[in-house]
Amino acid sequence: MKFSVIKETILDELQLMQGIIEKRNTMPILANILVSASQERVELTGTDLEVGLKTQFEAMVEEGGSITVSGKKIFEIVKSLPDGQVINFKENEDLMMEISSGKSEFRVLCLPKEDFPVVPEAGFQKKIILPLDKIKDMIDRVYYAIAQEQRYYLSGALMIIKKNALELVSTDGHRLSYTSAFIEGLNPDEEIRVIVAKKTLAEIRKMSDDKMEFDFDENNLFFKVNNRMLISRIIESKFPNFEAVMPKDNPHVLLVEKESFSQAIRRVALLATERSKGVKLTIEKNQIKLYSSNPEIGEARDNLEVEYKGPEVEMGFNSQYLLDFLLSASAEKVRLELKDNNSAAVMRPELEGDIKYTYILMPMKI
Amino acid sequence: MTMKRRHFGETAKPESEGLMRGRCVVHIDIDAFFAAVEELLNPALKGKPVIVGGLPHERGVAATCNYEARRYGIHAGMPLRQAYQLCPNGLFIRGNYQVYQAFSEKFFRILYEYTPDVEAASLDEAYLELTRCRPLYASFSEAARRVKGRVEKELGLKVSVGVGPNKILAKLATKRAKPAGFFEVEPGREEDFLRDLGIECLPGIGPKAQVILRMLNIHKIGDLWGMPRSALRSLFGLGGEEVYLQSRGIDSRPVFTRIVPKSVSRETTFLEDIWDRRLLLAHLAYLCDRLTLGLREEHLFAHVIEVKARYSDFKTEVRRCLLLTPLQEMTAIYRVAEDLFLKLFSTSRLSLRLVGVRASDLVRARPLSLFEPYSDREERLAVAVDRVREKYGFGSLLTVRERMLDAIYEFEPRRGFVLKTASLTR
Repeated sequence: MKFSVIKETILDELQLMQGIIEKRNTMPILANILVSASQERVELTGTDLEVGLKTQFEAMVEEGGSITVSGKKIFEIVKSLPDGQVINFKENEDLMMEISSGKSEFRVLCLPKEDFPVVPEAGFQKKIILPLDKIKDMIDRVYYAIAQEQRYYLSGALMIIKKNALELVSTDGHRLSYTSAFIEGLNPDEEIRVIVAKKTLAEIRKMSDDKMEFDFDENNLFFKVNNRMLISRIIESKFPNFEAVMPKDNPHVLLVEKESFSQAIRRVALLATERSKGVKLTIEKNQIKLYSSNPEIGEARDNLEVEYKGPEVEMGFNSQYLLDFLLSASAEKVRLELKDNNSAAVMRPELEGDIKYTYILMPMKI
Repeated sequence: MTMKRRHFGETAKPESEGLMRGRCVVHIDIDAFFAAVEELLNPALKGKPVIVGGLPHERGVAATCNYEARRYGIHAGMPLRQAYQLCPNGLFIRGNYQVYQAFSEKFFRILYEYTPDVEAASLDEAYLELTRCRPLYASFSEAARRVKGRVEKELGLKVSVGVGPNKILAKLATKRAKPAGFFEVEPGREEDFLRDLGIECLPGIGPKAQVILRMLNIHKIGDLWGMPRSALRSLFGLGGEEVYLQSRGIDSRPVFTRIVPKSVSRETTFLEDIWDRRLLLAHLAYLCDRLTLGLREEHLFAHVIEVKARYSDFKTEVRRCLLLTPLQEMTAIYRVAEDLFLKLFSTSRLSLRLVGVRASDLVRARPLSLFEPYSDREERLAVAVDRVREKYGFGSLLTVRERMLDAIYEFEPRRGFVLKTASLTR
């Protein structure tokens, strides 16, 4: 294998690989990327067995072939070389890759290509085309509500594709974020419901183009943007029955200005306990009182004008969970729909754009 | 004077009017707590060496001992067998932790009558910050003497009391006051007080540091004043910084009224190794019951439950479980603990000598789950059980599983079972 390419062309692809390859030292081959050269094209493949990335670029290929090399090292080497320069890559007989550019030379130990896991391919026969920018906006609205700790909960978001609509749902057991968007021309044979890994969503966020093509088989999801294809193992868990927990009849509705609400929460949360981050909201006619206390530090109170006519309700919430929604909602005012202090609250932007956004939040006993 | 004035310039110097202008911290410590309680309950023990923690042939360590026993060189934390060798005539008592706890509760109730700012250092030791209560008392030292008098009269136990402008000086004053005394570090006399105390008095100086310092011919706190801060730092790292400040009587730590504990745990070593699974589960249930009582009193919920088992060959195993929704109730915590214990125990054919349960990652609020329907059944049950026990005692309401312990332990309707005493020194 022998090829040459301009630094910038390969650097972007190597950069993307950094999010994919395995960082823990469990299997050395997963820290490597597969470099394959053939007919004016070079393909890079990285995977941690859950999420994979294949990416192609044009290059001057003198000799075809493939080899695996440390994804981190090759990235660092390429990055360190001067901009705009041609970099030469060559495989030599004793399982080394030679990288040279100008007067710089590197020889990096490789692992045989036979050791690299097979990364599945897709035919993209289903012709499911999604608008990438809209998808990215939707991911922003569900990403934070995916459980942090894999040990606690499934680490992915549910994606539903149906006629003319796409929905994304995430939950960590205490809250749930739901978005849906009208997408003209979507017409799958039957409704598609798959759980997409958190890591895959993070990688999709990094891509840019106007559209993304989607396909899947029994075990894998495929997302193609231009020359890049993400392969994501389907998370086999059952997604909780989210439709059943979406409150339908929360009678008490209040409207609050988003910016001042989040600022007040941030202030009061300064004295909330670190672990549970609880703040107490007392909602009365046309005002919210916020309160937090930490026996080791002290207490905080704040007060906010809102539009509210219902009865007095007192509820505790995780302040971070409230802020997560407020930060990702793009509206001047948000609605808060309540029932009682043991039932889920619903939050949504007052005016919805072309992406519908609903946030369900369980209260906290403080 | 061995010490230069400027060293002391770093303290918050008490004003000339005396302590009334600055902080006043009182340190109070019950003398030989467990042993003193035993003497109180059985006056025949008075004047004889008493060691609480277990019988001489039993395993375990001395939880505490009285001053007579200390004369033989016995101290808390010493293996019982060794204590017996030092003092074969000593009176060894297993002790009753729940009785001590009751005394401790009464002790703290009295303290809270004098100031809300009480920090419990252990069952028998507390710091009181009187600073905020200045208008209530003619003088701080008079208030501290009144606390001492009240505790001694109402508990029938001797206490030592130290008074100072901060925690370290108050604690050192108590050390000076022991046994049964009262000592006040008077404003402006801090240097004189500290100068001749042995370096081992400082909590920051452990046995190793003592050896090093003695090699440098430093024996008294006053000798430390000559050492530059940088030298102490290079000798002991961050601990050196602490020693530098402590030796000058500088301590800005506040008296913490209520600290969220890092964990709450209950464990017991059996009188004899146990192999019977049902009996082991009975112990576990009882420990969970005691543990959850502690959690509810502190209004805490646990995200992590841990079960510990020590086998007859002293090998110790721990299993833990992370909970999405933190728990507080006995029924729920026992379910988790039993599950953990069975996983752990089924892997071994040895008998056990100890079992324990620990709740950690504690929070004061319980986030409700979106997918499990909300039910306050167990919460209401716990409240009802607490109410019965408040009136008729802890032992008045136990599960059938817990009552299996009847076969092994003494049962007191008010206090429950008398398990082996845990050591105060941990």
